[in-house]
Amino acid sequence: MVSAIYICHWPDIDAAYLLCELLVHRNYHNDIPDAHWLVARFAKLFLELPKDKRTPFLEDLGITYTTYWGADDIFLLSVSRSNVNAMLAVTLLQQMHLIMEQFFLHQHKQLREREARGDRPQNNTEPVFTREAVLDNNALIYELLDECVDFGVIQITDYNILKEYIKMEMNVGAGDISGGGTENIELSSDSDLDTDYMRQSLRSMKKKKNSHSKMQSIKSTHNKAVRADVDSQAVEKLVNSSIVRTQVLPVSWRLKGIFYSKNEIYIDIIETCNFTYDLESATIKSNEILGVCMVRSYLSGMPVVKLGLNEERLSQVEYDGDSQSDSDHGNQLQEEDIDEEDGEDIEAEVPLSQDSEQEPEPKLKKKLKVPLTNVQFHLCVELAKIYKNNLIRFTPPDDQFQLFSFRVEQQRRKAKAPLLLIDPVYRIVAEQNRLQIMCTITTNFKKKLHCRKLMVRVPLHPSLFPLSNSDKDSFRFRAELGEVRYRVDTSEVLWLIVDLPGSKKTVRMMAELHLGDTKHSTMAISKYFRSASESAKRRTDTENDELDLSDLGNIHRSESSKPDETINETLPDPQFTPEATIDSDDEALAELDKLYHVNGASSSLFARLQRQVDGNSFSDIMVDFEIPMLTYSGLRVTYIRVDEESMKYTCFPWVRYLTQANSDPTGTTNLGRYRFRLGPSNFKTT
Amino acid sequence: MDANYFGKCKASELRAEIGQARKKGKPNARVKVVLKKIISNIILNKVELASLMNEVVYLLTLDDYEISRLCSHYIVHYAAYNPEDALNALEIYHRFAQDKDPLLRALSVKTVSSVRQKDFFRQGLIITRPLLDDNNPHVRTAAAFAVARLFHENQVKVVDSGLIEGLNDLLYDENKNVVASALAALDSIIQSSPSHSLNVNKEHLLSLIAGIGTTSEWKQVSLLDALMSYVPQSSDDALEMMDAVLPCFLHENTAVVLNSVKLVVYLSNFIASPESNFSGLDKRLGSALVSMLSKPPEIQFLVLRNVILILLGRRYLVDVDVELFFWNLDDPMYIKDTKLEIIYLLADEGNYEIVFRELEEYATDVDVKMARKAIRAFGNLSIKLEAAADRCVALLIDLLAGESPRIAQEAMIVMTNILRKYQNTYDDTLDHFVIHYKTMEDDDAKIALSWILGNYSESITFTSEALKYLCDTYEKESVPVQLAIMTAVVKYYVANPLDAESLVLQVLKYATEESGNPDLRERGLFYWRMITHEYNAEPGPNLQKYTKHVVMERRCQITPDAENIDPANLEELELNIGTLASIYLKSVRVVFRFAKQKSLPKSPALQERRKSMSSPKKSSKETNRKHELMRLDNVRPPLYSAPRSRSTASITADSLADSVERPSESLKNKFVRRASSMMGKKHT
Repeated sequence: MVSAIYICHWPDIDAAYLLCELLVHRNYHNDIPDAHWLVARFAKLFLELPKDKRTPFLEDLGITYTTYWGADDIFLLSVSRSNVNAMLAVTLLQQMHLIMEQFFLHQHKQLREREARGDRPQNNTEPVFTREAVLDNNALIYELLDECVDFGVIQITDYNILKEYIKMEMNVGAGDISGGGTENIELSSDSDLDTDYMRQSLRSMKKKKNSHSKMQSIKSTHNKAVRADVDSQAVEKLVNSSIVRTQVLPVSWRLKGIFYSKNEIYIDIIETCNFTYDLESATIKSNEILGVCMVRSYLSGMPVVKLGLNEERLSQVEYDGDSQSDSDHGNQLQEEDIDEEDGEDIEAEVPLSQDSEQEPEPKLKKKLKVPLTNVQFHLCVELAKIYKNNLIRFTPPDDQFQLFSFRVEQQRRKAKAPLLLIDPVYRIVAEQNRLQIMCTITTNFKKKLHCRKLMVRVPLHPSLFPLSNSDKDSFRFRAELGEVRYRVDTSEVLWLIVDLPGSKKTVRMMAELHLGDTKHSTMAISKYFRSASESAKRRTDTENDELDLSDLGNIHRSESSKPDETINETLPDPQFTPEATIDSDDEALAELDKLYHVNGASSSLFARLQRQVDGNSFSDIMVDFEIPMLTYSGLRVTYIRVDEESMKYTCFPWVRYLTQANSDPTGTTNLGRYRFRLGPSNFKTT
Repeated sequence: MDANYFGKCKASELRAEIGQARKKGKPNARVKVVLKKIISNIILNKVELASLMNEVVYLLTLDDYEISRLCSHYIVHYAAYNPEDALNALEIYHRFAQDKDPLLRALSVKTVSSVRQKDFFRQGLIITRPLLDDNNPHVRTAAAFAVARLFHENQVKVVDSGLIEGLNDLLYDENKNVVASALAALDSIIQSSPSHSLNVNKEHLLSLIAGIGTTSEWKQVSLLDALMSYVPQSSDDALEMMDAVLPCFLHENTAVVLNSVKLVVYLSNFIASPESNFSGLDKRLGSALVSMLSKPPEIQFLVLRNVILILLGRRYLVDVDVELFFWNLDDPMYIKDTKLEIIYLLADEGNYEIVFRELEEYATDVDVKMARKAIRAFGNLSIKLEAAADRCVALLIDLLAGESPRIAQEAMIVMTNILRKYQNTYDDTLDHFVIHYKTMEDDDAKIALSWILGNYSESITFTSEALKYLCDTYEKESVPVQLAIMTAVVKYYVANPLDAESLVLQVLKYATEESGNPDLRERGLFYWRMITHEYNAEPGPNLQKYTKHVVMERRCQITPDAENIDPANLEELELNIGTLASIYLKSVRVVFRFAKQKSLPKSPALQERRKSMSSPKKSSKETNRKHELMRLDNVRPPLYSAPRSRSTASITADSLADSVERPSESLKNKFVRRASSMMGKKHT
């Protein structure tokens, strides 16, 4: 039970003066002092703590502060006086943050749709939960805080239900909420396939038609509630009281009286690979799969869905790690076989045929073992039933939600072959002042599958490869598939392949650039790797407090394995350290500044950013891709059945699989990186 | 957009706007706009608006739920500033409480109970009682919370009015969500009232368990909490309950998962060997805990603290792989810190190789603070695991080769601890450490260096250079360092009088004649007298015989199994898994003075606590370490503070100050005794 919740904005924590600002607050108990005083007090205490002691919990004068940091310097703070359930308090903040984000996202989308109607919604990376958004919607948030929490006890946090309850802002775009508006909240739209998008837009078109014809019974109540004339209080009350009912019903996440003319359920199993490969030693350093099962349901009434997977030990009851290396190889082969069959089955998203739906017993593939770990289910899943018959039984919320998430740790089964392998060679041709980059992709998936949106990002660190700017057309490439670009701002060579069929086992590419100073590059590379190998032996430490190098080093450090240590100090000849070259870059920049009369501050910021970007992609080749119709873990939906007691309709289930890797260069997360660490053998000089 | 409404408004302006809005067409929509402005001003904390009370109360009568709700926000907030006018609202709320619309009934009871005014309180008592038996579950829920609110205002009157009984009846409500809300309300009442407690009987228990599957995630949390109030009368009872709770491990909501973990730990008190009754229980518990580590860092932190707690008390209940607690790239510092503690707890003979490889990497972390922590963890591990000590020392020497001063300093500190544990095993490696004597900058590192120099002067080839170097800046050092150097110099003098004579003279002279610090002067005088005493003046090998006897005694070993954590404390913490107390790992009473103390209830099925953990070797150091873990802040008392108790057994593994200071201090104490007895002899 929390006493109050505050939403605050604190941009630059370690600035000389306090910038912590209280945006919105709500008290639930009367046992605490004034909000502004409390927040100021908290900020003061927080500042006084050394950085490594800044935990999410802080106790002072008998009041415990719990913080939850969101993006954009927003943080949520709750206070309590007694020994409350801390986990409840933190989850509450997390949920509140999530809900508000969803509200803002929705609003944001509506606004943008209005601005550019008809345009395909773009990848939504810009932040929505900002100080401005909070201030704009203060009344909405106040209502949310009031509605979700009563007496400091959480009541309801389901976005789909809340959005109908709190209608204050939702009226903004009442006319043009298309189905797509809310669908992609959790699933970022870049993971959607083209076909998916087509379907979506089709559906939303349908919806619009429906609303025109005023046949209110066709779509779900929530759509109606949003769209219908808001002034009519009769409707409002009806909807509101239905919410009151759902709040206290066993199924709190689903409204009653939802009706669709066509009943569909979409199940997406999306696996994100987290993969690190060391090119020098040709070993897989980490190979982890993070999977989610996203469901979008457009089902009438109160359906019960049963879902079977080819995973015997879903509930982890018996899982004792026996699916280890010894049985691994065999498994894998079988898996591949099954993949082949299933791949055909589900090709092109054929809806599972009607008869498979009716099949009473799940056809579980007995021999297949998918060692899922850390499965977590949505609250709509009846957990007790999973143990009994290994079926996931649930009553889905309307629209999109995440049914379960899982992780496959591949530490034990390193034998599993990677989907893609890359073999890059940097060749420095000294006499011509050229750098040639040769790159080969080797694929390892079924012939019928296609890898989409493949992007290989080959880093060209400016300190290692100072490019000559004199020659305009210095960049040339030749590729069997796709096209190659040089990106200046991040200093990378990008190789884009829109569609790579599995039948093509290897693809090659060559790119050529002009180097400013080949000698320098050769030296720098050899020095770099020598120092790295030395330090691997001797374990040097950086001891450099400069921001740039610590950033750079930081990234290397934490990447589990050894080769790249820091480059400074241990080098015998400081002239060729990246540090030195960066300095020389700086000088060049300063000259440019003089030339263009730009003040120094901005340029130094640029240099810093540049360095950070460099640090990010210094020694790793990143790969982004999507492979539809494949789950790397081999997880499959084997059985699905939808039952509705009263209506007895037939339902169209759609199942999709996707394996992907994204390395968002701006994101801080370490998830979903598919990378190859370079070693000295990748660099050649002729 | 509400942006337009967000800003301070004057009461007179708003009053005019309300008047205007009511005159025009569609008054409700316009009134809402004004009310939103008022809400903004609640947030901005503008007291002046209290004068609008009459207008707002009037708006309550408009037949629009949304308006009523917004008005109620206003009234709750401003009633205290304008109590007279607020009274007018009472009548309206009284009417609302009997309205046909359940929403209005709920709103009424919620608002009235939230206002802290006598009249509202009285009214609250009147309207809440019938609403507890309302036919709408939503209203019953609201009424349940209203009871709790009223109770916090005036306990006696609420008890007298019979509301508590009414709330009690709700526990048998047909709707499980109402039951859960009533439990949450009761829980808050119980926590603040000494005379109330929650008892759950078997029959009720079964209905509560049935409720777990059919309520929303948040209600499940309260239900699980309530199950803690049931005392299993037999092991079968407990087994049955555990069976029902285990599925919750897979829940998405971390609060549910952690609460079910708490319940399972509680229930294992009543089962002789829970792990044999549920095969793979330890794995499932472990995987439930680990799966929560994919959540945001705030949640991770909480989970990690609780993992520590469970590892300390119930090692046999969790089976987790130490690799899962290795650092991630983007972990915040506090997570890394906590993970280090867990790595320490989980390390054993079987996996220390992996752990060391990982720690070695941490030790070269760019962030010096974290690197030092990692090195410290090395040292602790080598004291915990005897088999690992050799490897640890080898690694430390490797790290030293990097010639980074900060690592050298930390390594030095760690080495003192290792030396104290394994007295003379590593004498021949000391040169590798002491060679970095010039890079010592921190006080702690200098103290450590002095201690090593003093105690192992014969094994080190350049003791005199190092000591000379230290003495060069003797005047500028802080007092603790001066004390340590002085002791080291005296020790060296005793071992090697010829070389050290000038140093001893220099140091003692400064201490006794120039220094203004009483501690320093006092100790200087002691040494001075002892060295110059006639009993010690015997030439030849017996020179300074007594001094040697006093000074060179190396009785400062770190013993692995010192004090145990108070079992009652641990027991209480286990009943509080997931609460704030579990973060601090302190007794609840220490943090929350008015909290009720929880303890295991008496039951025939109650099992005795297992003394040793699954492997005896594992347990050896953990309990000792515990003490250290509990101190979130590593604040140490000043070194030259009043002498503490001398029990060497209670030295904690890595509190450096103790480790280095203690030898000389204990010596000082002994010396006082001996010196005085000697003096006595002399006088007689």
